Amino acid sequence: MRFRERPSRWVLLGLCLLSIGMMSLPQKYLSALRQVAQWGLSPLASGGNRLVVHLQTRVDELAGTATPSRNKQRQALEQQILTLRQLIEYQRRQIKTLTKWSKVLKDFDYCQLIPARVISSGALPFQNRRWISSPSKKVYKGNLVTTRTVVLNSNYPVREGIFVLGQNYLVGRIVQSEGHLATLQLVTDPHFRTPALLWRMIKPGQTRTIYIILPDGGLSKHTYHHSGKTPAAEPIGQPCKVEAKGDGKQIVLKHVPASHGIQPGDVLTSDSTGGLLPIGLTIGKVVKVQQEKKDAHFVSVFVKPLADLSRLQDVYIVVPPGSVKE
Amino acid sequence: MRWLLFILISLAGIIFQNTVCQLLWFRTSVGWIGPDILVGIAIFSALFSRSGTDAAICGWILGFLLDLTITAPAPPAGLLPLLYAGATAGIFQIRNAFFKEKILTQMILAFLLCIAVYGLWLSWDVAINRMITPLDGALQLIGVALYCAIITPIICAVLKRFGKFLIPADVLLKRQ
Repeated sequence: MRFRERPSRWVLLGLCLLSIGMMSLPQKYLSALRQVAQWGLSPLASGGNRLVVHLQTRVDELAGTATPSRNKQRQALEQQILTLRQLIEYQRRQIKTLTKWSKVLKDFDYCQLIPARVISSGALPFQNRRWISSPSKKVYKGNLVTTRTVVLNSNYPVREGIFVLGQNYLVGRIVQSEGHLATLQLVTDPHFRTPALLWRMIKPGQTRTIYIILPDGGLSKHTYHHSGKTPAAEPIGQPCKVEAKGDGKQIVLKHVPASHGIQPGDVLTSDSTGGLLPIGLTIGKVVKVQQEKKDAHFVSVFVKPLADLSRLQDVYIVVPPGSVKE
Repeated sequence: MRWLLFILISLAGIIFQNTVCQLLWFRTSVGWIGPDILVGIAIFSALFSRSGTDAAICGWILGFLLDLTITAPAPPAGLLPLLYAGATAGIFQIRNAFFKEKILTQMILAFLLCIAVYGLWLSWDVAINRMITPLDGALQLIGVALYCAIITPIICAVLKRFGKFLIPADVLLKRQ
């Protein structure tokens, strides 16, 4: 028998059966398996990330002006100063952002902001996700995030579903968290779904007419002018409630009534009624409005996120009151 | 095949894939395009391993490692190892028709392996209506396959340096 002559064939057969077994296992066991593997690989991956940072620093150095040769001690000191400056700059930026967000979220009592850093993407480029590492559940405003030292702690710092802010905008939400690692689902992810509000905007010097739906079902015509108080665009009328869905590249809002008169430049914000966010936070701007083929009374609205998701680095997890697991 | 060393190399490959390789990714209108280091390792093992079974086991290990590091939701775990095992075994079967030392051969085989494995893998997503834009996915796949094809000869050249440690010398010499 050929199998007897070649024991490796038995091994292969066993592995294939194992694969088929894994495919038929419930998803929760497989997620647990993946989490364990990712937890184990994280310390090694941080070494790799350190190498990436080192390489990037080297490339930056090479791209900068050529420096004359100096003695090693001086170079080392200069390197230290540079590192410290970068550290201070990073802390300053983080404090500034945290202060800004805490002003924005001031009415949302006892809400916590946990700073986190994007550390890696998935192994394959087919998934539009980023790995983030959050430092600790006991992180306070202004604390510096060091991802590498806390990866091994195995607490649950955040629960799934809560939102994540970027420097200025809402960028996604947590879909998985294990220990100090969490998966951030970006707003453009095809599986991202959230209730949102679409605000019609008016620019300085502009006049815009919109139709407002009356309680009896009729339409009332209103014309708005920009107040001129600020150079920024102003929202007009009541926002339209929509469901925001990612499509891999941008956000799509389907079945928006054409009577709302949505135009490119209008702004999409989060809906605060879910309780996870206190106020509507800006997500993106409308770039295209397309009439739906099936029903001319509805349009599909395409929204481009305002945050540069490809360069996402520092993020802030909004933990609503009572959500931190002790 | 010396399995312990192979597993260590595969582990190094997957860590490299998850970290340093991110520098090589670039964004296009259809999504991110980046190389898959493990495709290169799979091609090397298919071209130089002692038997088809060895090649398939190598493929299975690579697919399994990749499967473990993919962020969910993804097609069910277990599919990628099977696809990798099948593809490496397939390449082992046809390798005699090629000059395996040639760079062009390695590139073509890497391209085909990538298309076959990830094509089927992504088809799963399309079949269950999870992938909304299959055309973009297909274009992205071609981009990834091309990138893998470019990078595979480099990986094969690096792994050949370890060839005598990975594969017993008599087998390696006989094959060469």
